Amino acid sequence: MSTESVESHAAEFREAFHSLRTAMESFLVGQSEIIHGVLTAFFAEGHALLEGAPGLGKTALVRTLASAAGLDFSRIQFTPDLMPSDIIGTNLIVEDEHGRKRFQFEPGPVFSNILLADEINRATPKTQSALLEAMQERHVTVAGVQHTMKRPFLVLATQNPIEMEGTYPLPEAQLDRFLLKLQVEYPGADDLHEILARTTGDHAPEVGTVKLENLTGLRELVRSVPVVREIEARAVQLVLATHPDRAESVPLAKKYVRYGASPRGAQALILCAKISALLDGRFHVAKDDIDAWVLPALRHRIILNFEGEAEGVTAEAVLKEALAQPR
Amino acid sequence: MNGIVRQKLREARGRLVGNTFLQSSAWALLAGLSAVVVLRGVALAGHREVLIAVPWVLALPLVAAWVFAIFRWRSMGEVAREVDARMGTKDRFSTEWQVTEETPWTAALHREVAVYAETLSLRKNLRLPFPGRNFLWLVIPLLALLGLESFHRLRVAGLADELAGARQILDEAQKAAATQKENPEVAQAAKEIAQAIKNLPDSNEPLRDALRALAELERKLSSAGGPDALSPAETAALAEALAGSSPQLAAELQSGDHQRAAESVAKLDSEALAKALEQAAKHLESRKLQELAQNQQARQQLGSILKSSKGDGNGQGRKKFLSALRDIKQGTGGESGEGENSGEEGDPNDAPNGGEKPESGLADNAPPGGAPGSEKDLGQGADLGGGNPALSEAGGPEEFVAGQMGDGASLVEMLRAAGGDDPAARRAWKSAYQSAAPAALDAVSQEEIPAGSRLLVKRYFEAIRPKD
Repeated sequence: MSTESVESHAAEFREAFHSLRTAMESFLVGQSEIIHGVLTAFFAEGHALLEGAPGLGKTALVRTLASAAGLDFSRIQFTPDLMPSDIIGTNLIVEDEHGRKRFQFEPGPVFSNILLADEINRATPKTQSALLEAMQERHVTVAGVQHTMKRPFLVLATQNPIEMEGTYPLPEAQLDRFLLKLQVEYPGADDLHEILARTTGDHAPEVGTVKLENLTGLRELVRSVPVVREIEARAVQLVLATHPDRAESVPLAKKYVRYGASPRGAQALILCAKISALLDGRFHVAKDDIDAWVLPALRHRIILNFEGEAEGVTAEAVLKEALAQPR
Repeated sequence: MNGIVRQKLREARGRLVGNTFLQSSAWALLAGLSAVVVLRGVALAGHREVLIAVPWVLALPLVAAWVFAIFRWRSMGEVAREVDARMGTKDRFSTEWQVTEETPWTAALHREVAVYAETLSLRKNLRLPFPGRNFLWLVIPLLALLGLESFHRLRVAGLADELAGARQILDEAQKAAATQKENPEVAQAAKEIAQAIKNLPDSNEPLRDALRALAELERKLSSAGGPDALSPAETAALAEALAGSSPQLAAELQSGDHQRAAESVAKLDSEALAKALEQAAKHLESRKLQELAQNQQARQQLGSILKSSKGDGNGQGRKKFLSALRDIKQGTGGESGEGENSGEEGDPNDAPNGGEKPESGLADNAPPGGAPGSEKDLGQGADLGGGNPALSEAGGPEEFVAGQMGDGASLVEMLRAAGGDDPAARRAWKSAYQSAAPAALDAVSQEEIPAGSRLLVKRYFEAIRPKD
């Protein structure tokens, strides 16, 4: 790859990202930060957990992404009686034209490009864990047979932070699989007016489709952005600052954190920072790029101890203290 | 690394060095000014020579601040990091500095950073801020310096009368030196007097210092005649004693023609010489003359002393100048010893006790209790006339006449205690002091007495002043 090729690929990436963003924003109102996060997760080959109250457009956001990117979309409404086979699929006995019976794999809704796991915390941990292999390994195993997922594969899970009754908090291992945890905020007055105008009138806006011919190439491009050690050290510093037993940890982490962010947290920081650098027209990652992703990339990877929970300390508070450290 | 990036980093380095220097120069100046305050204080305490270090204590911290600034930004990597941190350049310069391998990505990086650097104005974004807050600290030593100077001015104002008196004494001495300026020793003395006048404004005790300077000059000039030379007083006393037996020799001694005097001494009768020496020794209480008188070889020895002494025109000039100095010092050569400015201590070369007397001509005038004008002057000396010609020409031995008690007004009061915590005693003592001290001080300032004796009385009353 020549220098010019790098530059043209970077420009192509920016174009694709901005096109998708524009397409989504033409339909969704007041969710630009969430859109940016979801698109970042999309290009970084990660998954995103959306947390927000009902009716804030989480499902619409995922549907819009699938529509804008021209990808398959499937939705699973998680309920307590949902079984793993309802997600990944199952072997059914089918009869062929010769009357012979055999097992045939019937793929579940997980076999799509974009999977919306709606209210994921309503399913039992057993069912939630059914997504683990698919999210991390990009394949599922049913009856000893491995079935590869479609590419790209993006899980966008939503959860409601208000209703805690009848919910099963996501296991730490699964939480760690999400590249980002995005918090969907309630829209402002102006945005609310715009939502009303778009959804209660006789003319509903349509989502334009962006042709992503070289999505794999663009994803590879993201990973090839260089990061010098000094910049990388910032990600390491931030992750280690959340570990209570490390010398680098911040006071809040020492006191209120049971487990700090995993190495996947550092990977998430660097990947997202690389995308930010490319979008900014740069060919290197800056510390600002890393800092910008600390909250969405690490907030779900920190487990508070009993004192932390009792005192009402949040993971965000710990991360903000880590961010305040000299760079 | 791209050339323009390197150039920008060099420019940034210069600005950062300047910036750091500005910041640290405030502390450097603070240190320097604090040292100046200390030096000024030491100078006001009498060690004026320390002021020579003032430029150094100001310059050295500034040089150290400059060296520190250069050392701080010696690494270009540090400069790149600082530029990124201060200017929000998204770590472009530090990344550019660290990237070493050449790949298409790094080439694209170099190109992007170069384009960015070209449009970057360091002058605008890396402005040298005035470190105002740091410089506020400089107010402290400046105020201290101002306080010291104000204190000094106030003290000088308080010492104005004394200073005027001291200046007058030295001016008199300078005038006296001017009349003998052809004498190199006196010319040198004139320079020393000029220096003493220059030092007067910084003196805590100008009158004392002026008298000390004159005493020092007298000592030097007296010893300039040779270690064994006769002092002018001894020569004069000897001439007086010889006036009857050998008028020619007396005239030669008085005229300062020591060579001829030496020849005349060789011809003189040993007995007559011994008698004259004995008389002069008795007159002056001079040990040297006494020893000469008792010496069998007095004639030869005196001849050689006279031959070796500088009895020429220069000696005459020195003698006259010495005489003038003595007059000035004793308050008879001018107005210096009069009025309220006469609190001087006297000659620091005074004999410390009443027994031994130094060999110099000046010291020969000192009475057993100390030189005239000194604290130890008991008024018993041979020179009570203070050079008054009428007294010195009077014949016959001088006698000490004790004063009669009760001739003037006196105050006698018995107190239970002069100090301590007894309030009644304290009050009584204060009352007695307030009635006696002003009267005594008035008396000593109006009477024609040696200036050192005035100081003695003044100090005595200061010492017994009741505590407030």
